[in-house]
Amino acid sequence: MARAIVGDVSVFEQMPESVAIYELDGRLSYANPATCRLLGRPLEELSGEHLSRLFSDADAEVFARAFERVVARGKPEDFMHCFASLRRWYRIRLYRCDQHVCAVASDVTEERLAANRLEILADASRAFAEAAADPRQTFEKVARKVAEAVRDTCSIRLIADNGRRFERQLGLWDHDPEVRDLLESVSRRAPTEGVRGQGAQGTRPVLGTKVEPATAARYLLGSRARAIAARLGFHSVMAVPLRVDSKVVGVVATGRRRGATAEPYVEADLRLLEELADRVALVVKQWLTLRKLETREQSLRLSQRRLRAAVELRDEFLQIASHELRTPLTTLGLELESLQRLAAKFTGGVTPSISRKVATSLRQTDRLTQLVDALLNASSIDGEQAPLSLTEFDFADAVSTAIERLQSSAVATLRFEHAEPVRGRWDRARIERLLGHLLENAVKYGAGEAIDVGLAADADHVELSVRDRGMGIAARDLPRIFGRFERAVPARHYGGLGLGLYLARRIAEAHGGRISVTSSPGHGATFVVVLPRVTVSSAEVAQRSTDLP
Amino acid sequence: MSDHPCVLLVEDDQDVRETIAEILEEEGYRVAAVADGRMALDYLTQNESKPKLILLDLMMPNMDGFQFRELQMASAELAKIPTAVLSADGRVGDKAASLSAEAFLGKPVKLARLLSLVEEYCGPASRDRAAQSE
Repeated sequence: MARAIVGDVSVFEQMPESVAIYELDGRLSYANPATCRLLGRPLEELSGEHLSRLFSDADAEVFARAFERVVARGKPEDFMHCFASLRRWYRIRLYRCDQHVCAVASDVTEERLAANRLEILADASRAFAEAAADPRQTFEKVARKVAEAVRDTCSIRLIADNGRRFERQLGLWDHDPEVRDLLESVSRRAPTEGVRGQGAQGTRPVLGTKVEPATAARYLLGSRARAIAARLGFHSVMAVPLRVDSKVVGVVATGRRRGATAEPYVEADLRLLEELADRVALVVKQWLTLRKLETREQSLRLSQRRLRAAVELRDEFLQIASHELRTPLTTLGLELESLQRLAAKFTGGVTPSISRKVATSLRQTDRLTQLVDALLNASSIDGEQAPLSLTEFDFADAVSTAIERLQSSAVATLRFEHAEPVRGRWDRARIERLLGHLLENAVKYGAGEAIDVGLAADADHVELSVRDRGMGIAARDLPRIFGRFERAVPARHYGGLGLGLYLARRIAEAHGGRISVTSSPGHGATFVVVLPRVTVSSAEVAQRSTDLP
Repeated sequence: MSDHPCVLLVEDDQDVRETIAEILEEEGYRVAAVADGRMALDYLTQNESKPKLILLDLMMPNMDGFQFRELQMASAELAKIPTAVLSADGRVGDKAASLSAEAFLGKPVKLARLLSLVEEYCGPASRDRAAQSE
């Protein structure tokens, strides 16, 4: 009959598309082999059969309506239809050719799935990009998107050691809130059992259909959740590793329950899940980076706390140590001074060598005392709370006194010519210490050459300069010489604690002043201290004197 | 007066105590030396003649310098005795001020400072020595 209508039908016989020719009343005249395969019956059986009997009721109804329209209007009609019995999508075109209707159907299931997948991926990417600030919400949202895409349950879990050890549940979703609550409680109760044994499999995608509850539980919920998996009737699972920088950091797993969807997963579902997993991995990567930063911040805070505690401990130790050292120094110093007095009174006179030995011992005792004082000054304890004790005095006089004190034992000449008094309000004891530190520093590093001390003043400020002609300071060392325990030369050559200039700076700054140095190697150094002359309010002083040496 | 100590030294470190006492005695001052605040209070309550100066260490066992000072100030008679605080603490000046002490000596004590302080309250050493020999 077909031959009668269209002549040679051999061309239809070879076509992958299904071609069928119907009478206008709906009876089938011709079906090519593809149609026979589609309908699952041989041509002999199909010939003369009414279209209503070719398909299941629902499919037949859709087909019949389109058929009637084509017959009535004479215009071709295109439509997409998924044949429920076949679970496949077809694009169908019906043409009216005079007294017949020709149907051509192409299987577009793969195309359709691909388009659907693209749509799902685009949708999921958008959702993941709008990740919420709270990571818990973010992963719940991501799990939900995945679950909606592949249907049923989705869990996103983090695993450590490149897939060998479960670390934590990141997100979980099932469209049924009751099931979701149940699954969440299970995964909270037994988190560490998570993906144990999944290690090897955890590194490549897994698709399991007709699985045992134990398998479903292991991939989806943790191996202890077997009973729950059985109760919920999981029959199919998929698991895809989450890779961040080529390392497996987690698993996104989905499961299908009998109560929700009876169909098992197919390869296309796994491909979709793999695509989704790539996107989920980006969200996980972002979260891991954030978590690493937070961990670093926490460890930094911890280090700071430990450092503060260590400083406190050190200060306490220094305080106790210097306290303990001062007691024997008292006995030693007093005994030596007493011995010196006795020797002087001794009527027969003592040999010069005894006097020299006592003098040397006393000098060394004084040096020990200074070192102990410097140690305590270096810690933040000694005088920490002591405010500046401001009195009015002549700065020039303080400089002269400091020079006199040092001159007798100094190997260099200290030159200071300043006739005019420079009166102002400062803490005298601390200014004397500042002068002592600066002058001793100049003598120590001045190579025995003369040291010039200068003093200048205007209405508001006093400027002290101390210039030596020693080795000088290399440019790279200049920024650090006012730091605590710093010096520009090796300690073994010059001794001391490296605290003098640090203390001088602290004292200058406490007075609202500053200290600076200019130098070049081989040409000595000039230290300049500028201090305000005006009285500073007590509140400001209190503020400045915090942590004062 | 001559038999009565001019200085009461309260110091727990035996070497420091003996050294200061010996130096002052060599200078001609009579010194009573005790090892803590409790002993100092006992001494003061048991002896009618009071010293002209108390040299008081702060950190001591049994009764420290702060507790002693509190009890001393509670007694009108003892509160009148000038007291110099003796301490190895770097903030001895602040502590002396908080104890309303007349003076303070930071450790390590300098001989000249010790002698001038004692002379300020007990008079020149020679006078005490002269009184002793009478």
